[in-house]
Amino acid sequence: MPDPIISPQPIISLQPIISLQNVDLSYAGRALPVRALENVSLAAADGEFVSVVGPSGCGKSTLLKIISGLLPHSSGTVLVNGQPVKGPPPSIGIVFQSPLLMPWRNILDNVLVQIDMRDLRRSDYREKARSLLKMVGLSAFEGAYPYQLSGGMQQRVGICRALVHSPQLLIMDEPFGALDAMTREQMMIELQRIWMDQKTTILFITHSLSEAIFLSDRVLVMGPRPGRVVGEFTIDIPRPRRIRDERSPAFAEYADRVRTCLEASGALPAYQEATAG
Amino acid sequence: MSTVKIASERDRNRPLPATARSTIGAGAARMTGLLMPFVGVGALLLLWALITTIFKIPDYLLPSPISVIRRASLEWRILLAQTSYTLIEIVAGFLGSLLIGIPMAFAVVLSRPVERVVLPMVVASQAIPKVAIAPILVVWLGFGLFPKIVISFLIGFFPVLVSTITGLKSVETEMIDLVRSMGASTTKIMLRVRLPSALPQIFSGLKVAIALSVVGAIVGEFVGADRGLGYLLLTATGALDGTLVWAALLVLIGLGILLFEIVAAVERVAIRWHVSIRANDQQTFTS
Repeated sequence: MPDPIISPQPIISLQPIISLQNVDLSYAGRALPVRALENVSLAAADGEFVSVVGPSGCGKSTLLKIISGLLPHSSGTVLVNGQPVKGPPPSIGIVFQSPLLMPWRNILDNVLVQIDMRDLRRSDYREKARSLLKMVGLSAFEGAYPYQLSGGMQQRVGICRALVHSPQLLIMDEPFGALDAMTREQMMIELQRIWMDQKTTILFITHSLSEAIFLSDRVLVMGPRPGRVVGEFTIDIPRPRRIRDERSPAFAEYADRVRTCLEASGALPAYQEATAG
Repeated sequence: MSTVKIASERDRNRPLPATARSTIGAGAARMTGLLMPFVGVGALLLLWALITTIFKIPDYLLPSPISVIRRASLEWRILLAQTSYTLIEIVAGFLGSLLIGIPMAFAVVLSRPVERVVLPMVVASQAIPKVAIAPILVVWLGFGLFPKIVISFLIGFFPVLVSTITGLKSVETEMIDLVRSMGASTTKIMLRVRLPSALPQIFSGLKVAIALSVVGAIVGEFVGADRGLGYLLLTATGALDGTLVWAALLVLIGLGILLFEIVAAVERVAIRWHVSIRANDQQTFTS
């Protein structure tokens, strides 16, 4: 029997998960209003890995707060999953630079914080939480407390917590910024695997060019205040990528182009200026 | 990735640090740890006995510990009866500090007007010496248990209030952002994020409060009472009955320590995850 109703499935899959159009944010400063974001437009398709790189203070974290509904914007449209953002959208997960685990909860309960805060039934998500912990190699630690885990392990728990309710959008704000170089590389490999496994859209905010290029389908470059998008690069390196690919000519080429773009925006000092000064 | 796998497999076969402590060595260390305070008290009593004997100090000035203990064992009925009154005052005053101080801290943290209006008044009330207003309270509230409970509460609740406010406020803004992104309501953030993270500070306030509640009850009894350990101290001092004064004092000291230890024990269970408790664990483990 043919289905009389046309399935809305294709329409949804065409719709971007995040869509920002001409977003401005200004707030009252001491004398004049301060413009934190100026005319920011960006989009991320379903399942896409998009990074935002830029110097500190360029409004990357402000952008994150606007998309996650924690901060209202002054003008423009912000859509997550086709819906205008008025408060935290239901289908997002966030990972911050600090793991932000609750020291009084064990590891499994820390993953389930997401469920408790959303008033969902724990019993429906316990298995999902366990399988996520297994995926990041922390099965043996589900009864342990945060202080018993290393920084990298704690951040993995934070990632599991952000994924336990199967969000469509995962927002990460410099998640590996506090980790040592080796743990960081390990986490980059692991995040790539998680992303390929879970098919979640990821918006990854970082100030590390190598993290952005290694992980992303697309890299957006933001210029210094007022924050605006000054460049966009599609990274066409086959996956799964390996850390040693960072030394490949293709990778170096991308890094060079992103760096040139940052220099042009005034975020990085250009070579001539550095020698002249 | 492979290194992570190896680490987790190794750790699966090895008990976690928290569960690894119940070895015989740690048990013996724990016993010595428990005995240590008694060694100190014993040494002090010995010194006290020596001083009173060597310098032949009269009983009304400083009786020897032996005669104090002998007197206490003779008068145990009176001591017990008086102690029970004082204990009721202390516990009621302390519970009052807890039941009023903690909710008041919630109100202060949740509402800016409350913070602006109530907090200065509370601070002002703390500037008044309780000993100075104790007689007025007795005039207002009579000679019964109630004025003593009120004084004990007035002294004890301030540290609870102040430390609870500090605790509730000192949650990282990112943590609040995180749970807000999960759609948590203000109430939920208060009860399931701010309150648990404030527990270490709340308990340090409660430990100060229990010690001060003892002071409050005794001050109340000094001002006007016909029973209680404070009353006993006052009458015995008046009668130059040194051994009874010191017997009452020893009971009071024991009571203070016991009550403090009860609060500390509850704390150890309630916030076993906190670094202050874990540090203690580590000490018994290594010593």
